[in-house]
Amino acid sequence: MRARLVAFVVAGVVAVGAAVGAVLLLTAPDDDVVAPPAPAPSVTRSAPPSPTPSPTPSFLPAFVAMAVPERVEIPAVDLDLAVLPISPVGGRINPPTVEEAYWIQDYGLPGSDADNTVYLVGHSSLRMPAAFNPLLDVEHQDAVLQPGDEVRVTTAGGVLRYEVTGWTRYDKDGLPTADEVWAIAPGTLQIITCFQEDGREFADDNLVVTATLVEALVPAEGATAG
Amino acid sequence: MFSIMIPRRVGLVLPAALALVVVTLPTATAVAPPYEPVTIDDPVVVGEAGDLNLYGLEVGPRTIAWGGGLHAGPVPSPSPSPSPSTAPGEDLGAAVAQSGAQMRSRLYTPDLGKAALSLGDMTTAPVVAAIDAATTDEWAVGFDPLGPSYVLRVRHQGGPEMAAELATDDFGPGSGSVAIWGDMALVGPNLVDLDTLESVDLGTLDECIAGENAVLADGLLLVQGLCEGGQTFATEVPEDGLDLESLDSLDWDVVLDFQPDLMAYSRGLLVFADSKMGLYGYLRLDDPDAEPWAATIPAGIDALRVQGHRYVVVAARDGDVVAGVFEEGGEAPVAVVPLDGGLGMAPVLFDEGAAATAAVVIPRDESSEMNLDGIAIDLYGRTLAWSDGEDVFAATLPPLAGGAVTSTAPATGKAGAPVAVTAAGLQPGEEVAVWLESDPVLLTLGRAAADGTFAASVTLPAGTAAGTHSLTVHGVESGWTSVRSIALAAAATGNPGLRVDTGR
Repeated sequence: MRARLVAFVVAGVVAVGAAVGAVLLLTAPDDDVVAPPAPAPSVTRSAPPSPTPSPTPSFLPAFVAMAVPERVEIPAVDLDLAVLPISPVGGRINPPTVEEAYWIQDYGLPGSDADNTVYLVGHSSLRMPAAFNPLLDVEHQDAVLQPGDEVRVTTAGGVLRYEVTGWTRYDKDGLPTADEVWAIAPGTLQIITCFQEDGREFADDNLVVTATLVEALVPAEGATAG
Repeated sequence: MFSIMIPRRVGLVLPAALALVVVTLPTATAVAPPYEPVTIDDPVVVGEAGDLNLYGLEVGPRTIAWGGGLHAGPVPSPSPSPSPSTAPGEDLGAAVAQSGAQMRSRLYTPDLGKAALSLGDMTTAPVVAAIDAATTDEWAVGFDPLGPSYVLRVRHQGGPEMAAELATDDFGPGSGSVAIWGDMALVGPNLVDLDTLESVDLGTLDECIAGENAVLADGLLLVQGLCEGGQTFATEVPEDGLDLESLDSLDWDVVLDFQPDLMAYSRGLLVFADSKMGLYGYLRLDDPDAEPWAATIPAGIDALRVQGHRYVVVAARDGDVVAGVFEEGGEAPVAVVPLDGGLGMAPVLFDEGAAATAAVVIPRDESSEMNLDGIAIDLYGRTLAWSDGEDVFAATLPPLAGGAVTSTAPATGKAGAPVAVTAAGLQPGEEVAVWLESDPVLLTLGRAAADGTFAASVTLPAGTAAGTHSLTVHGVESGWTSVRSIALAAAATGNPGLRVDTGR
């Protein structure tokens, strides 16, 4: 008989089980997938718009009724994106695709008669092209847009022209309670993405660019008194 | 009063100089009888056993499964190929008709603190065609001792069913109990490597080791020793299994110096019973300082189950079969379940006239628990399933005694905003549910750390009405809860705040 009297430490087994549980708990969420860092996206601003007015203006100021946004353009950074609707799940927003902008459909609609803040969100990334990469100057840890930059939101009814008033960096955990971001402020556009830091695998912060509605436009042939 | 032998427990902690650690069981106290009024009020009827002559009943963290066979009526036509899975409660009789066995299974939602045990749909159950079976997240293993050949059937989750011959099938019909730990299974006396489907008969390892009545559970393999008047040995089993070719060099520890005829093990707690002595008791193997406990019982002991801190003793008394659920450290039963005497205790006759296979007569075997599989306990002691011979029932048992969970949470919060919740005093590693009331909303499910602490960030749902609410931390295994009040401010001037995950 080879039965030898040796240590039997059941606690070791329990520890193994606990370790497995810990590994499971440490599984990274979807938007924090670890990948090798890539060069920070380059930052380019387009040349200032020509002061020479267009000889044949295609849009005229008008009343644009609230409607679903379809595109967003930011000429200063050559950004021109389709806009898709999204709703929060469990108090979170996580856009399902990387290269489109998303409009939080539970809140405000853009329009001359807007009754709530309009929110556009989109991904940014150090590793791949993403919708709102052009908004970030990762190298200098800065936002690219400056006060006065134009943001154009197109709906079926026309174009809502906003001007940037500023930007703020928020800790992700603090953003949900940032009253100034979530305040009901008709005529305000909030553009939200992740604030990427060069060399970091996870984005801990959000970038929020705030803009104010300055003009509503309709195609010239459809213009009405505004 | 019984005069009992005094078991020694040796070598639980390796003494540097091999000095023996001798633990003496206290004199067993007579419990006469421990089975008092039933304390299970509202069991859920899981399904009908009907004329199945129940052979196996298992309850896991999310599944209740039972099987049986030996129809009194005509045997269904054999199916060309066994079905890999089944709908809720679907009768697999056709799939396994060649052995005359059926297996049924249901998913259930355990009591998470705010909802009673309820039944759901079975999704992709890794059901195998067998009478005795066991399942884990990864494996389903079944053995059909009544089939035309003694074949082990194994299914890896999502994979095809595989069949293999066992090292030995010489352990009699009806005694092919199945257990799984990690990538190993114990089928009767056979230790099986599920990756290779190779098996070894434990009885061939050494002339002093018996193959029968072995136990595999929670990282421990227990076998009975035949020499020196009989002993019980144990060895650790890692989750990736033991090397079958090196079994004869395993390190065995002597945990009892006698041979109980029934043993069960869960998370450090070894429960044993011996019908000859009318004795049952337990030893905690992960705490050398813990006192062993034993008691005598007038009735013969027919089956034993243990999960977590709870153990079940099944005994025949005055012609009835009764199960008492006990808690480690407590002598009064937590619950009592009368099991119908018809639970396969009488001889079971296969209908020869309907037999497509050979007729089988199974004599009553009081020394075997083969006919008493009609009771199972799991989710570490909170869920009990049993059968009265007609139906299969399940119920949630009361919380463990002595809970003292404390929790912290902010006194105020905002709808749509995250709050940090912490707790302490939970069972190590248990599942934890965090609820927001008054309309109960499950905010998160997590797991307590090894020291019984828990921490999570939960988001109060957008749209939650302003006012005072409760945050409840509930240990699913222990049943212990802690409640904190949280006042939600009105959010009339703002949209519900959101977390924005836009990093890629």
